Amino acid sequence: AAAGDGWAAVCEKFRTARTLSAVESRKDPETEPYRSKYSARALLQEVKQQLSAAEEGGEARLLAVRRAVLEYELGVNHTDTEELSAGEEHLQRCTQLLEPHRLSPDCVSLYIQAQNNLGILWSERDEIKTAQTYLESAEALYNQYMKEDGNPPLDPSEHFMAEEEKLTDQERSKRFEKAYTHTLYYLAQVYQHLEMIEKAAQYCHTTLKRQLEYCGYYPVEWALNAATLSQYYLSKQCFMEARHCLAAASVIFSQAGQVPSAEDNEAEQDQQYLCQRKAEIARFWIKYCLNLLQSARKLLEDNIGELDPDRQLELKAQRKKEEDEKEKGRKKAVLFGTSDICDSVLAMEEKVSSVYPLDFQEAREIFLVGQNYVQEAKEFFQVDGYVSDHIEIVQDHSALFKVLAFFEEDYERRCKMHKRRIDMLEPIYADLNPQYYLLISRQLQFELANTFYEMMDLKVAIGNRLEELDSHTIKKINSLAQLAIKYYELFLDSLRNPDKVFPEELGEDVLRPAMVAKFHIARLYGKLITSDHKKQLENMQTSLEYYTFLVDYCEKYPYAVRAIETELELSKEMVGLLPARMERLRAKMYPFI
Amino acid sequence: QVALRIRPMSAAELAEGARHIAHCVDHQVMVLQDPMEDSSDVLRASHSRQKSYLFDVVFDSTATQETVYHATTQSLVAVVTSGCNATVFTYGPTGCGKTYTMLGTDGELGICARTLAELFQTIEDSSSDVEYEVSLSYLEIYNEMIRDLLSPSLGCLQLWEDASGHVQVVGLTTVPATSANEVMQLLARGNRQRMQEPTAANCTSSRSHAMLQVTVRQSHRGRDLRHGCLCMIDLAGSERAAQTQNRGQRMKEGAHINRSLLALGNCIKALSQPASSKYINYRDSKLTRLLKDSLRGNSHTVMIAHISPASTAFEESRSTLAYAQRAKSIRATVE
Repeated sequence: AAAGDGWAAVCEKFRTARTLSAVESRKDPETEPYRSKYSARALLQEVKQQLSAAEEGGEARLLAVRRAVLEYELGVNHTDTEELSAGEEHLQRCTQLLEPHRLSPDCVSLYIQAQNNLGILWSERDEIKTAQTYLESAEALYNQYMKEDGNPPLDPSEHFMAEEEKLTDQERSKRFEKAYTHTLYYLAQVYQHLEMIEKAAQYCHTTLKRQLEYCGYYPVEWALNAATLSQYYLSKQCFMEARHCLAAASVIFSQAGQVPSAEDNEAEQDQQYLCQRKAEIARFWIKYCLNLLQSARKLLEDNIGELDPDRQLELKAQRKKEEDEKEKGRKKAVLFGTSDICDSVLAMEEKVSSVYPLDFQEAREIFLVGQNYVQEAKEFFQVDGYVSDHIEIVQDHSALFKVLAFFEEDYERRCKMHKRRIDMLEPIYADLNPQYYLLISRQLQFELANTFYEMMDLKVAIGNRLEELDSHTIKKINSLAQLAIKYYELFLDSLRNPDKVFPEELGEDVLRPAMVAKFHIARLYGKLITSDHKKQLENMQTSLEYYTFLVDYCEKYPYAVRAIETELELSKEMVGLLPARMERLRAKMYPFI
Repeated sequence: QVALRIRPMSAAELAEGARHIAHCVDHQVMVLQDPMEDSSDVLRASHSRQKSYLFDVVFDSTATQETVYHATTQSLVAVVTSGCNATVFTYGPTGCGKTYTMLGTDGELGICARTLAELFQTIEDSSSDVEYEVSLSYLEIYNEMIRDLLSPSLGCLQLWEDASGHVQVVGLTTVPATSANEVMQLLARGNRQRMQEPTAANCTSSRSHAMLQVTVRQSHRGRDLRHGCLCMIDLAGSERAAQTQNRGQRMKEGAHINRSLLALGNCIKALSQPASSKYINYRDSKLTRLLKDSLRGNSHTVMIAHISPASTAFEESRSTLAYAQRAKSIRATVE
């Protein structure tokens, strides 16, 4: 047969098969889902026959490669139609044919793709470790090829193309890199299934990076993925990497911009979609700021939860030393971005620190960044329509204030920060239907109570510095204490069953908070200031009852002790001391009895 | 209330040589045998590896649609007409009979048709003073996207949550209905719009949840008396993808590699699990949020779990049974 025409026909057949498989198959009906693929298979088999019939000879190598392409296509075809054994056979034959030449430009891409598919195939059989070996082998081959040769290799489809149709070097490189990106992506999944999380994260990161450089990407999706990856880094306290992900996410997201669309309705929906995604990225930033501040606090706090100045000095000195090392580390890190976005990403990064804040000034800067993102997120996640999200954002805002207060030395200013928390949490709590939002309701009750409790403690501390407590301060202290008691009681009430009975035994998730609530109420009654002895006696009685509850509960359920050791010890002490104090007070009140 | 339905062995299972391992002991207890057990092993025979499960009611493969209906959903009609809410779920792996129980076939109607027939009958039989208005909506949740099956051209719909706890789907079509036939026709039309994918296990299986909501409003001489809502939900197949071999763009679960880079997000999300409260908790799925309304308040819930009796489905059956048991021990916080 005339070589020229015959060959063109063969190529045509091959291309038709590929189109059937990739394009037509999507239109296959449900009852015959693989119709196009079977047709494609028939064509591929025909081509294979025609190749076998061809002469061996000088062009043995070329023939072998062409056969390998066929085996590859058939392998993928069988895998797609759930015939794994046949698929494996073809793919293995493909790699066998290519084996002696696998590092050469005409074979390497095909070989890697075959291995990618063998990896996928074995994962279908739930043999993830076998999948791993194929994929890692593909990875190694890519690296070896790039080191030893590095020129853009032939794309497998070119073996069935006419000379004039062959691809440019640029296109070849693009396709080759895409194949390798998939290798890395599949490996990320494998490592994740094998619970090698650190490696999985690394490969996810690299995949993201390569999407920007080689693969094409959807800006919004890419941004969300990068932002989500930051969460992983936060969990490992890798703030520099987390910040980099978030900065890149913000920069790439801004590429999305307005989506032009014919219909107004669609454009509106698209705008909605963009606004929501932007708000979601803002929420990831909030978590970043919050985590950074909270981790810093953990390092700086002493055993009563206050900022330890010695630790502070220590860490500041340590930081100075590490600054140089960090720069070196920076350069080694996997950075996103082609040169054009690199600068934008850097600019974003410079807006917020990635090292632990060690004093109020530094903490405040991070706090302000977080607060800005809170406002941004709330723009979309409004109360009306997105209650749960809105509340979570406000809770984060409150947490930002709480952690900032830790860094603030002045008690009055600290009080003001806690007041801001009350002001943002109380209105939401008031509007919430506790029946439907039980969990959130409890969280808010407890947080409000704790905040009032802290404020009261601060006012007492401030008052203690003065010579005498004036009536205004006393009123303030009492009012704060009463509010704290109110919310702790609301929280405890929420634990009652429908018949309003308090549970005999508390569930694991509510045990500690319930006990802490009881303990704090006891203490608060002890802190109430009154000149009325009768009232004072009543308060002490109430206080005693609550301390006793704790002691009794732990006796009845010894496993509970571990949850509230410190509080229990103090409660036992008070249970011992209070009765005597009450006696003395009674004696003072009724001296002649 | 949690019920269990065991379907008959299928031809495919018999062809594979599977043994029958799910047995009803009585109308509330069933036993699942571990197929690995060697019955000739005398030492092992005394601790036979079979676990027994207690449900409110158990149906074996001989139970008819009528029986199942009477024991599970029939009582819900009165609940709804008295102004309360009721929810029915069918749960279980693909191919174990969820859709059969819910919709049934033309010859053997499922609980859906029967409940609706009873509902309309009750309405007809009631006094002429009271007027009833019945409306329904039918939606599907697939891959966290909500689609209105009665108006699929609307595309993906959003949820709206307000402070009182009410969750609704924005723009969902509600259609008034006056007879059971009408509803079933609407359902049939809606079902044709569902996302169906061919799977190796069952050609008509689905990886989406379908939710039918029937609202009954009663008014007496123009004044609104009460309204009740019945939700009937056919949950997506609970099986692991391993047995159904889904491929291509369909998201795979389990230890399978997803070809498409579009699934990179899933891989990244999985890195931070288990998410502690320090990090973003992926919001409740759309299904959970929609159901918040029907699971709280004064609501009656019936879950009908489905399993296959075959030894080849042992793992799936075991996990379905464990899940159903857990559901049984959860008491809805009704106040």
